Amino acid sequence: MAKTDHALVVGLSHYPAFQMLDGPVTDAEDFYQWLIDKGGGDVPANQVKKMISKPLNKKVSVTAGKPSSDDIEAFFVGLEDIANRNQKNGHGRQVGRRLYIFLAGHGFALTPGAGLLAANASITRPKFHIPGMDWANLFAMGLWFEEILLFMDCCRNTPTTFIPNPPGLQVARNADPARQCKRLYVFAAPHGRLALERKFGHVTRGVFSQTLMTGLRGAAANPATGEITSESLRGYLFNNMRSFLDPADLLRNEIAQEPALEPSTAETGPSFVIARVAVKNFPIRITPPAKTKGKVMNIRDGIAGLPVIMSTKSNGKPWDIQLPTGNYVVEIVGGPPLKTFIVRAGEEHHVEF
Amino acid sequence: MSSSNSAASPPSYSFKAVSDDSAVELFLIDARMQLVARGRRELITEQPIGVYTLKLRAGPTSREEVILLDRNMTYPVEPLRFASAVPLNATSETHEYQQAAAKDLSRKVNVELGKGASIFVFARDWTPDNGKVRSGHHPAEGLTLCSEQGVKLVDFQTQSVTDMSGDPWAACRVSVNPGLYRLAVRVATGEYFEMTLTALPGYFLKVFLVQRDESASGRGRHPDLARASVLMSRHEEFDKDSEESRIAEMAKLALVDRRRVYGTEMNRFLTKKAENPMLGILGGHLLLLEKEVDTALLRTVVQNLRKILPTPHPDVEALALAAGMVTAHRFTMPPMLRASWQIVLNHSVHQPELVPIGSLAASLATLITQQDPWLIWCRPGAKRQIDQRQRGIANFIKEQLEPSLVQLMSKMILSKAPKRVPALDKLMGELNLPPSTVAHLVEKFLHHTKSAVPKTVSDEKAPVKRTVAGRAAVRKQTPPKRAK
Repeated sequence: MAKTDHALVVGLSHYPAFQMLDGPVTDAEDFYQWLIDKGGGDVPANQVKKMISKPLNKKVSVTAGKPSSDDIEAFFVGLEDIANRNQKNGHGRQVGRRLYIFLAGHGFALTPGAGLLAANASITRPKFHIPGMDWANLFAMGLWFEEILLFMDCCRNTPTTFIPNPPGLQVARNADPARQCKRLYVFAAPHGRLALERKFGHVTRGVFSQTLMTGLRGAAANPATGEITSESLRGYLFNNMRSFLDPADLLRNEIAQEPALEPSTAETGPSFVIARVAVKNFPIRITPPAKTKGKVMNIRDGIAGLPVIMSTKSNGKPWDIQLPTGNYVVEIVGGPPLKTFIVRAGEEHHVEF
Repeated sequence: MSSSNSAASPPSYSFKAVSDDSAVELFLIDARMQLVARGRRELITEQPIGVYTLKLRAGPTSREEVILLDRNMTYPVEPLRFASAVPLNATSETHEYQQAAAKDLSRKVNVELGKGASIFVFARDWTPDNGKVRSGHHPAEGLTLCSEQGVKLVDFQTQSVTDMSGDPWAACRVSVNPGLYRLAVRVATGEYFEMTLTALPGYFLKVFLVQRDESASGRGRHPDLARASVLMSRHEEFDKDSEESRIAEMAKLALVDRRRVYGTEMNRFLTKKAENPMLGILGGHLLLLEKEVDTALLRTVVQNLRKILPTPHPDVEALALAAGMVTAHRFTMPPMLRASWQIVLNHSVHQPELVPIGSLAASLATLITQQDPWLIWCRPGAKRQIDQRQRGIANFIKEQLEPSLVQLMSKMILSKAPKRVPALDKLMGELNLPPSTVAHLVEKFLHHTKSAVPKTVSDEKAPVKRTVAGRAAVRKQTPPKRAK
């Protein structure tokens, strides 16, 4: 099914006119790997356009910054060639099943959406940006794809000066109202807020991208089916990004603690399956009171009905288990009151009574 | 608990959560992290037995509580402690001694510059450890009050009452003539960040500021205008328990987030509130965020504000524009809120006289920063930096316009009377600048040259690495994190 998928992956860490970022290139490479992995997006590699910046070893003119806005837009314009070819062959103007757009770098708020600053942008050249949502909406309107996923890991603060750069492609509106493009657009920050990057171990990653990739590699999957759907990914991202932030950053008003999911679910169409992956589990240590030795200890899933999913006999010592993200209850039969806990990606989990 | 692994439908229970905070949003999230119910101030739902997360949110602040729903329940919600520059009770960044100082000193005039209005400024620092590791930094360093023309009137560093023990604070109440003023902060790089303050007769304006550490970017430690809180009331004394102040703070946060927080109930509340005009102004802007704007309600808000305010307030007049009402106001000085300014810009396309040529507002339009909700402009230390930015815009204009229209625009500034040129409407809308500013740029950079204006030579040949709009380079003891 993924053989007609297409993707644009952009990671801009190096800008002639702006401060360097450490994360975007790594984030883009990671997303690219997931895209072409058979256990991930399974997109044919020749249908993924990856554009990453290269280190600037000497002073470079801002006009020579790469990839430029023209370079990035060339991918979108190239989709028109495919649309024309398909139409010529009698298949209509649909380009493929799904379009992925991943953009990471410096950015600013648009209303709606965000603009990714291309490498040839500067304070006096704000025109050279990519309005990701405008491009995605253009193809959605024309039903060039059945599904469109847009991920933008950049700041969304209000720009100092602004010169628009709308899509320069004419796309005819889809004539069949019964067919609508399903969409998932996620921005690293709500309007007016900043997206952060930080070190995870020895590697600097965008907080949003790190959350996203952990989700796409299983943390956002339904434990029962292994499916990552647009709905499950939305819920996962909204409820887990905080745990990837440093606690000190949670006190800063200007830092995004949750991603922005726009437009609303009412406008983006029904949920669709993004991928089927191995569910990712996270370690939890449960420490029962010593006096509960010999009592039955149950782990109940927090879903409707609270089904028991694991059981053991307490020996009064820590019990190490693995669970996917979600809400749970520890029950010691005949023991202390129930203990609820949440398993989130990016956190350590210790449950004590 | 009995086993629930049978095939029978699990029982459902009613769940009710109510917050005393009028603007708190409530979300109920199930065990698979899916949103199952939401509400403003209260949430009432019926859900199957299970473990849920109740999330409370006000602006950027949120809190989560895990709930085992195994019976009908009414869940008590503790107040959400959000961060605020105002040392209100039930906020996350306050000390009792700062609350006491603000209360005490808001009653006393320190500087007399005029009569009829009052501006109280309280600048403070706040650290989680109550100043155990002291910065030794004066909380009002670089902070001044200036006239509309930019003449320094008060140096808060030298003229405030100050306490440098614990987390330091500085307080100063200035008696002024009613009118427009500029609150300015000079940072270590020599730049000035400024915003408009409107002092109205019969009202006490109170401005609260916390410190911001921008040492990593070279700007040093300074009062943070972006996080400033501005309260306006008929009461001179600061009240740490004021519900209106709390609501105004949450309204400000909601405006930054472009979040529709207030429901019909709150909208009705706003139309009645005469005691705190800032609450009315913020509420008016929040009304504009609704999917379907209740224009009649907005007009009522504007009419009420015009009645209670003795002199025209630029932000109220901006709301009047948005409500389709007539205004004779001319925005020579920028309004306080960025959202107000955007309304003025949108309307200036068809009413260029709204922002007069040669006015302070016209000259500052290209210097607006990315901050929200206050309209803050930055006067760089060097004029060269102003020119660079303006030249970039001028070059774009040149690329878009026929030479005859360029000439027309430069004549506009010479006549000192901006007129609407329909052929330029689209460009004006795209540039997001008032016509008077665009005309000035054309006159300054394009009028005198038949040959091309030098392209941004200075930043092509010697590119300057700048902190991009919105980037916050953070210096920490741990490996640094960066904003994009």
